[in-house]
Amino acid sequence: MSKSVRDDEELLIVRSQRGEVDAFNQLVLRYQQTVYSAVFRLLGNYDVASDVTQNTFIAAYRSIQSYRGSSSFRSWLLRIGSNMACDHWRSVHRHPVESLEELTEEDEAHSSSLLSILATKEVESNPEAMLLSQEFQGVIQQGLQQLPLDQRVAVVLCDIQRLSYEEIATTTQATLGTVRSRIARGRGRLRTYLRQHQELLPHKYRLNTDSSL
Amino acid sequence: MAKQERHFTITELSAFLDGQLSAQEQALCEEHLKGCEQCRQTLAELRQTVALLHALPPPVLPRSFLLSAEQATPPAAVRTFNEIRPVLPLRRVARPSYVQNALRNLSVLAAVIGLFFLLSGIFSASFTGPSGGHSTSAPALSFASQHPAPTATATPPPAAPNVAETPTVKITKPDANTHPVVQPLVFTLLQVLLAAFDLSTQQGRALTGLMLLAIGIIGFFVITRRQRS
Repeated sequence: MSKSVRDDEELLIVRSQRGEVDAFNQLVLRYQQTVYSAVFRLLGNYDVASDVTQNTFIAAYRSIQSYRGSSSFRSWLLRIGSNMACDHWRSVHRHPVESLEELTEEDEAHSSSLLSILATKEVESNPEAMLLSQEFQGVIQQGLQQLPLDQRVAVVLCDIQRLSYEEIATTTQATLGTVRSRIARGRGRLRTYLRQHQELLPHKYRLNTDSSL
Repeated sequence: MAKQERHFTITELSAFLDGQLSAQEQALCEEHLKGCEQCRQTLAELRQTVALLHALPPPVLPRSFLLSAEQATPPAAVRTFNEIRPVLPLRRVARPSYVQNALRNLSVLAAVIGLFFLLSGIFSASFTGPSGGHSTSAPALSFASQHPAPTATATPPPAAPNVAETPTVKITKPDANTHPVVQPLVFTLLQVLLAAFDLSTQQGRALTGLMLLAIGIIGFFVITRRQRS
């Protein structure tokens, strides 16, 4: 971020702290993609992610007085967003019957999408299909959702939001050692999960084709 | 050497990938990887996993999340609460509700006990009929019987003037009834209060019951209202 943009952001934050909604909304425009992406990767449902994102910005606006600038505004928002996403996840998965229904529904949708991707083999032969297909994005998302919550948060913040280990430690209120091991275990599990879905990967991303350092 | 015998753990390899090991560990790991196919494979897989996550495009925004004027002006109570605990906005609902529920149940319990006392006070008063008329003196008497020490010194009034010639604090206390001016006002109040809430009298029971009932009801409504907001 350039210096002028940062100064501009500081001004917007100060104005928001004075209660100017317009100023805060400019921050919303700037960060809504970030927060929504993180929340969506944590929860895997567009509608729910949408609600949680909105609530995150409302909560952020209401507590903006407490933002002191010790961390970046982006990681402060991600902290609120990931906390709210986790709260939501826990509240839903506290009721096993509900989550069981959800799971079978997802599984059906999942297997049908697997079939459809197997049917469209040209995705792989097409050199432009280096981008991940919609279906494979779904597979990665499924993999993420299978991770324990703490590992999922760590992986999303590290490998999708690209926060530093220190920022993740502050965001999740954990030690650096804990952050390191959560990221590692999350990645390890995800690797195992993705290996089971190797055949869906574009060649570039095949796990065992490229073993060079 | 150890570096040849021991494989690196996932945690170490993952940290190595992000350059999070110390310089010494980083070098040791590099050295080990040269000769260890297994660790090289694990590292490659971790790297590919990370590459896949990096390649995930951000999801398309379903709508704008701009705050409306309504969303921006919260009720005053919510605002102050958020200022105190800004980071865990959802969790705040979950935790205090425990305490609040317990407090609410306690309030209900207090109200029920209070009602019981109140009724027992009223009913025994109406059953005993005329004795209720004497109840003004009853609390004082029963209090006296419970606390014999002060009354014992207070009962012989002729002795009091003699003792009063040596003005010590100790003596002014017992002859409370005979020397109302000397006696501290607080003590009188305390005595009246204790007598008023004496459970062995009808009035005391009724009064105690009434107070418990009031506390219980007020507590219940205050907590319920706070939970709703």
